[in-house]
Amino acid sequence: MISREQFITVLKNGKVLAYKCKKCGNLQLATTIYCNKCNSQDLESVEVEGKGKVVTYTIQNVAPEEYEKYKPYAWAVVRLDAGFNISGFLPGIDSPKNLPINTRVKIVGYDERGIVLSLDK
Amino acid sequence: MGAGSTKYGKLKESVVELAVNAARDAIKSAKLEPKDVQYGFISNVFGIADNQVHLAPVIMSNLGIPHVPGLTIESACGSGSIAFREAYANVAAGFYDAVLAVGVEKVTHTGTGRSTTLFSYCSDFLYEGGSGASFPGLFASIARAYLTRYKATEEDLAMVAVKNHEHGILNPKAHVQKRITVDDVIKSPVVASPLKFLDCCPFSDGASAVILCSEEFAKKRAADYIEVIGSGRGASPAAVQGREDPTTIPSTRAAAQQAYKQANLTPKDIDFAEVHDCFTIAEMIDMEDLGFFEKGMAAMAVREGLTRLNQGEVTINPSGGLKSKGHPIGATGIGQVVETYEQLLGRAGQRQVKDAEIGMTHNFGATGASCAVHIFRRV
Repeated sequence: MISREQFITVLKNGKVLAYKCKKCGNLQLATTIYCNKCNSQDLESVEVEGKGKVVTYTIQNVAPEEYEKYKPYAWAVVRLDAGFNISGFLPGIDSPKNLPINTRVKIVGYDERGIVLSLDK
Repeated sequence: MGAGSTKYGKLKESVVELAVNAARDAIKSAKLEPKDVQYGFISNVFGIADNQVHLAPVIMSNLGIPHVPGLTIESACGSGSIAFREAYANVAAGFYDAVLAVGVEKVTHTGTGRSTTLFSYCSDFLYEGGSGASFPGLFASIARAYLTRYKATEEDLAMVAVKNHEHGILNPKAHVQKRITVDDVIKSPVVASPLKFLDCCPFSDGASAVILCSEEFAKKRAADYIEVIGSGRGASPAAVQGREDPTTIPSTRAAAQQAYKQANLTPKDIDFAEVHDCFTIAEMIDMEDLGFFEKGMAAMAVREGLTRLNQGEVTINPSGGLKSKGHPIGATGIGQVVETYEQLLGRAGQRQVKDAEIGMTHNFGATGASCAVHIFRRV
């Protein structure tokens, strides 16, 4: 089984550890350990590109206290090109004008801010 | 068969005092003595912020019934309704004749920054709180998806706040008793776009308590009581990213479906509903998921004032809701039942829903990861 540590190591390389279901072909985040479509336990781990587009997001004007120093930033839900969602911290966004829905983004790391995204130009 | 609540707001009492005060009022209103209580279901999330976990035995000891067992239940902002559901299930199963359900929260002393962080622990932390999202932020992302997809505006969201404040003014125990306008909401500081300060419920302290008992016990003791006729539970993927459609909350739909089925009722039969409006967008989505309006039509309903007190088919949040009455998160779900008790017994004063016969409570944890819905009838 994939540990949280392994999952984070892969995020640091801009990729996402996923499980592919050998029974139904579903791809999902490797933090869920049985297939979330058919519930099969027969899964293989694969690395997918941390690239995709913004499904929805917010800009945090009031942030949890540990994040106050990083403002302005957005938190976004991202549809990866691999076909499932992830979320993360997107620095430097101060207005909805700068982040239309469907904007291309990519994972660039994992640090004290969590899963870190950037615009994928 | 009995209900009590402290005022909601920034309170000086400890988490234990708040719980004990609400429990005392509930026991008194049921015309019982503490020793009649056979079990205590306590809902709380952040007791640790007031240096007290393992709340159940401390509360029971302070009620002078240290030998009566209890259980503390944590399901984020949905703790209260979920504790109520467990209490209901235990009485329905015949384990106990009369039990106490008390919800309590004490957080305002920690300040806004710390509270924002504490609440973020209720999310799926790796992906949400631990990547910079606050709770207003998570609901803001839901709001952005909703406003993008449906014919709804930030002004429509503001109307929810205006309506709930109108109701809250009539509730002496409400945290925020202040009339506001759509303009006030729109011009209030942005917390997490598109949600502004006045789209958000306050951080509150407070406690609410009810006594649940078997019908036989209620009849024997001849106290005033209302009847639980439907109870449902639902669950959703813990993170917003796990939802196929972020503009609907699957746990609400599942819990409501079970409760309607058990009660043999439809949304048209509900006279009023206390729903989970932690943010204005939440009330819009709740109204659709509970079946009061078609998907995407809640904005129209709010715009036309259909959910205001005694203005339409169903009054939504006669108490003022989380938005105005306040949201002491462990207490909220039980507080909704207290409001329903008062409404169905005709004791709600100026905010009384006319001829109220059937009431509903809807309360969820986090962004709807866990939910319970109950339906009540006047006896």
